[in-house]
Amino acid sequence: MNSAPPDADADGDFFALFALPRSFELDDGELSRRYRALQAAAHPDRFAGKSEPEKQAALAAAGRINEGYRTLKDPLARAAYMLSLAGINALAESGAQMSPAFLTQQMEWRETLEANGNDNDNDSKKLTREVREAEAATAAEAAALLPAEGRGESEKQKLADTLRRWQYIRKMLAAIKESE
Amino acid sequence: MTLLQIQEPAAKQKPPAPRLALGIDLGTTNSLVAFVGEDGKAKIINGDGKDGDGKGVIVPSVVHYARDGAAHIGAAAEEKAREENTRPLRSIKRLMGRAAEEVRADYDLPYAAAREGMAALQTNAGEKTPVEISAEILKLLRARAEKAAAEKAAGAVVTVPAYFDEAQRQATKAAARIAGLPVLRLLSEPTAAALAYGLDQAGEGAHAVYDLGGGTFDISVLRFHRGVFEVLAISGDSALGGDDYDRALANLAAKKLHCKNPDSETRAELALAAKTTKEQLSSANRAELRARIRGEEKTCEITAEEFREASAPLTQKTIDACRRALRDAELKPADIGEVLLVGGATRMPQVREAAADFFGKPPRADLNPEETVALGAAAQADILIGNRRGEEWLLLDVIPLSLGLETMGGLAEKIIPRNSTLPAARTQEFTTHRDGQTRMSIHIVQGERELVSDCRSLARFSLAGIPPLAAGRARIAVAFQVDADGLLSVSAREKSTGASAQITVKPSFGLDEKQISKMLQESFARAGEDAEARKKSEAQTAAETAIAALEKFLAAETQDKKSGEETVLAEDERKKINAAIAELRDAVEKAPDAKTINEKLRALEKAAANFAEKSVAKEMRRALEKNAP
Repeated sequence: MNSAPPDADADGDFFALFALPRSFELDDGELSRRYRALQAAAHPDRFAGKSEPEKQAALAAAGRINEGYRTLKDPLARAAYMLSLAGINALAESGAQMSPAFLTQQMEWRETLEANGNDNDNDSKKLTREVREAEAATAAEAAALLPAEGRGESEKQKLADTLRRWQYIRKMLAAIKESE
Repeated sequence: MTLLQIQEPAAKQKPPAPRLALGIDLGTTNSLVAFVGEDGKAKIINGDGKDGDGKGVIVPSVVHYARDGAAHIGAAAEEKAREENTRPLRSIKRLMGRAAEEVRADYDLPYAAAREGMAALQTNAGEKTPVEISAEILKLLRARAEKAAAEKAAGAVVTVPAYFDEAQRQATKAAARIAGLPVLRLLSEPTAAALAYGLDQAGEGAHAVYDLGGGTFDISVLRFHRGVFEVLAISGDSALGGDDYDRALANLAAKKLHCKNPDSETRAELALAAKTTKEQLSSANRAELRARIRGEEKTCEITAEEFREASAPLTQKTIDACRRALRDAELKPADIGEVLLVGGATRMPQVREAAADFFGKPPRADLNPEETVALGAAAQADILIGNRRGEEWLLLDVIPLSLGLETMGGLAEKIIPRNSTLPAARTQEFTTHRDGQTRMSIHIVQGERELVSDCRSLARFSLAGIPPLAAGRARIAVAFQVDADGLLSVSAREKSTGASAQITVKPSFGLDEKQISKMLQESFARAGEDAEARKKSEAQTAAETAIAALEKFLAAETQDKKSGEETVLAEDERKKINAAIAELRDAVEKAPDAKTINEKLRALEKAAANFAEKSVAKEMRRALEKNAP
């Protein structure tokens, strides 16, 4: 079986679930507060002694709250979700083209990481800093193109490319962490 | 003159009588049961030494089916097996939810057989699955608690290791059902410990629970924030525990006693002696080890330092797992508020010191480390059954292993990643890869590896009725839902035709509904209970629960209507529900069997179909309004 892009309506709008505006800028603390308030109201444990339909409804609601929170709290997942609301599932498509410059950058990072091993703390810190900076810059590029709804096709594609680059950078950061 | 209007207060509801809810620590080596008494405190229940139950709080997790086929449990099992000059069944928990071939590869069990791929053991009472054997232990614990409370148990919270996978959790739940215990919740052991220590009272922060039992090690990192417990990460080793320390000490003693290549009898003797020496070394710098080897009494002295060195690799393994858990939680040791020690093996000073060193603070060990888990489970059971009002905690847990699907090329695609908060729900769309494809087979797997062949296969099912379209055009939504106990159900739906298929995942080597119900029947028959009467009483309980829930909801609606707040039911919906309640109540009182009650219950559930969603949605809206800054 193959992955296909999801349609946005299938799982509804997570921003509405948390009664938050559909915006990439988001107050983390406020999101967490609302998440906990919702979960405290809908978690199946609150319904353990109750009727079967209530248990089922609570289970479905709590699952959606968790999924919404997971999606909105992470900026990359949030951006990808906002783009999916505009009809494009950027991160599930494989084989997307990266710019040669970005690919070269990737390879350099990988080489530095492999050369560092465990013994060179300074170089490792420098690499981490560099990749983190690249992530911040990519996040800013994405933010400038959000929300994606109402934008032209070329802008949406540009955003999709940005998000895929962001995902590569995340993998790089994970690899650095793994090597520590 | 003004007339004073007196409003009739809403019919005063007598608070329902507290119901007996058990907390059960079903351990690899030992099991315990606890419940919350009238004083509101959880207490461990002692055996009275009668009816095959031993004395003391601990029931060894040991079962022996005697030559006459009768089951003996705990201390009685040890005794009976000795009398029959054989070995009882031990460490059954390690076999829960595992396939026969896995068990054969991992354990040297001469008596292992297979029942349709599932591990089973050959006993005097015939072939027994680990689920049935565990149910024997649970039955004893249930009887012990019911005797002490002079009341039937209404439900139980049963603890499981945090890393227990889907199949192992299913197996545990099935064992409880066979023992006649409705499971309120499966709770991970370290989480139960955190509840026992009242970390919910300790204020906000992250905490670690270090649980070294007889045969397993668990570390979990929890966070308590605004009344909610969250398990941030878990790690551990399912084959590391106090028994390994006994073996390390026994090996040390063997060397000192110049006992090369000891036979199995000598090894057992040394391990037994090592247990005593280990306990002495918890409070002394040196201790004597005394063992009978080939009929000869031998002794040697072992210092705490020697034991510490001999067991250092084991202790280091636990610290490595602590490091992994902190990494997954993205925390540093200094971020941890309290470190809790759980499990009898944490009495060893080298373990306490290692934990203190790693976390940089003295760990808490003020509760009896063996009783902690059962106490926490009892407190949670008391809340879930509804005995306690006002101070309710909510417990959020995470899924220990990723769940996913097989995709093209034998790759596993993760749908619900490891450490996702439960309950989890996620839908992913897939498409066909051949023109005109009308069936799709869906293979559900569990694990972290990329290749399906390296993951654990949980279930397969197939979706038919896909319209014949060009490859890549059909859109199949596969929805995963994992409940608060970590149990998975999967459904698949083709979007244009609505063709759907659903499965509650039953591991290929698990028990199916039919087998469980057969075991239940057998179990009732043995206990002299009438299966039909039992079914009827279960149906009555379910009906009463549903009626109570609906009436509570209807009363709240009336209240809201009076005070001009939003209501969710229309007048005719309310009438229909009331009529269905009346019919169900009639059935509960007069119906001769479970079937009629269940039919009326289904009818009520149908009449109130939307009430549950609406009621949950209303709670959520209220929570957000209350929380508005």
